[in-house]
Amino acid sequence: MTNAATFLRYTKLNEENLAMPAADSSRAQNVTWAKGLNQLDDIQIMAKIADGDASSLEVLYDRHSSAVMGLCLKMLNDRAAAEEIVQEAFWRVWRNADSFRKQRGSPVSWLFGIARNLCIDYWRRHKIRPQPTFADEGDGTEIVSSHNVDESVWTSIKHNQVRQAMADLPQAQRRVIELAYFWGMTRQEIAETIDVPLGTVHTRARLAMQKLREFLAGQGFEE
Amino acid sequence: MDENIKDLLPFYALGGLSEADKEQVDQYLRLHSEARQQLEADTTIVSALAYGVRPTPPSLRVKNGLMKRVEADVAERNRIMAQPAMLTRFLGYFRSGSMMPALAGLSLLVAILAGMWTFFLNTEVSRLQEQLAAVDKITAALPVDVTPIQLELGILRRENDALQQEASDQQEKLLALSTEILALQEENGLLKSDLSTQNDTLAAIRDDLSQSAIEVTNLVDIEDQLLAQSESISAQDQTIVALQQELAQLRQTNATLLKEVSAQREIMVYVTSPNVQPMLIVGTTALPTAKGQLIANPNDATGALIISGLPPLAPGLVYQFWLVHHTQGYIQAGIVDVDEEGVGTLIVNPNTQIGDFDAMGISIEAVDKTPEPTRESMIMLGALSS
Repeated sequence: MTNAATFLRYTKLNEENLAMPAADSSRAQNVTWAKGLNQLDDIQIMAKIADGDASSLEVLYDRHSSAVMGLCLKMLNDRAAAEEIVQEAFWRVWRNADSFRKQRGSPVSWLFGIARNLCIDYWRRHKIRPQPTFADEGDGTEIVSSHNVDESVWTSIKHNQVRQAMADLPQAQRRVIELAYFWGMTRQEIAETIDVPLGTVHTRARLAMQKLREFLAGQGFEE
Repeated sequence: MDENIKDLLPFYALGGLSEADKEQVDQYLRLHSEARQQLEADTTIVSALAYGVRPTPPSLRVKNGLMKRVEADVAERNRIMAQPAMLTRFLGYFRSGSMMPALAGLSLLVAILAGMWTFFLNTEVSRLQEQLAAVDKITAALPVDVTPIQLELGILRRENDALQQEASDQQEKLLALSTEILALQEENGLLKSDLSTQNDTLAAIRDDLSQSAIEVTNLVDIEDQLLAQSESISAQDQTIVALQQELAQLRQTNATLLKEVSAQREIMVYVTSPNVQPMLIVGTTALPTAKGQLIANPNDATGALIISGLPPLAPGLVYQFWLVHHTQGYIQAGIVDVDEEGVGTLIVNPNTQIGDFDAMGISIEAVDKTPEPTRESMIMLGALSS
């Protein structure tokens, strides 16, 4: 995690945000506990969720629900359906936290993977396949969650980094990545959609991944 | 790393592989750590992609609904934890002694099965030992025969090493070629972009050409107009030529008239001069209707001849006027000009006094022949008196 995010996480802003009016002592205890949880990283939070700690799931939700919602909204273009998928994704995290293996990636990439698969299942269930759109995603500077201000700011920083990385890609390479990730297309479907040979699709994907890796590494991007 | 797998790994991370492709990559990943590392790096990038989407907070209802489900689940887990476990119940039965006969029977059955298993294992060990002894005998007989095989094996190993080295070299070349192909594909992309720009330029040129074609059409129209004007001018030219010809004719007529007027004036001078007298000349039987006068002073060497009733002559013939002297004979005194009305005139200037001549006459002669007049060839005759 970058210095900016660490700074935000431990500022007064964070404490004020968590210091919600406690209606009873148990709620107040939860808030105190949540303050402690908020200082844990995602992997530690996952361990607590696997132990059945509901407050840890709440912390994970506050950290990543906006990003997951954004992903679902882009893939489904239906707010109600996207919210349904967001809730289901976090529910599955809760039920299957003990199957998470940090060696396979970060908790948030696991979470995004669950949400993305649920969206694709949703397409299949409802027999729909939205037409790909390639609109600019905005700079994200105005996005501030009502649940947790510092997490929203941190999410916005990451949004801008990735958005810039994608914007720096040549359009042809960016399109291959978007069609595969957001629109769930196989490499053969992509080749047919953009009417280029399969080999060209491979080359574009490899170059795009290489450029994204270099750009994000240069930006100090961390999940 | 296998090139095909290299192509597939990004799509594996992106979730863009068919089941068959995914199975192929899974098999490769189990055996190749460098592929696993590559996939891990790709997966990190792919998981970041979701951040590229504009974050949108879900409504509070989503979180509330989730936490309600979680609370219900926690309550269910706690309820299950509160129930005595199966093992605990089993131990309770055991402690109470109510299961002792069943346990004794079970133990006896296990002992019998263990005895059977031991017997089977001993038999199997004996059989394997016999097989081993047989193999040892065969092995002892081998060294003499094995040497050539070992030599051949050595050769084959060296060949194998060489082939492996060659394969390694080929892989390196393949890698270099792949890099070159990637660069060429990039360059191809740039060239396509250039081509697109050139196509735009060509389209602009085509537009210009189209505009030029319109201008050419206009020019053709103008040319048609010019041609029509040229034809009109040509017609006017012809008219001008005709007019000029007419003018020339008029001028010629005018000149003739002027000449006639001049001749008439000259004749008028002679007619009105003092001491002149008319001397008659009349047609012979050849031309009885012709008659005229020579008006002159007999003491002068000039006079004016006026004749009427002369018919027009065929081309090449002229009326020749003669003066006749009693010693000199016939003397040419000029060609008579005859007009359309058959009136002929001539100014006579013989360098000798008119009164010295005896007679005068007119004959018809050819223009290109030297005349040799006779009395018979005269068509008009007249006497001159002093």
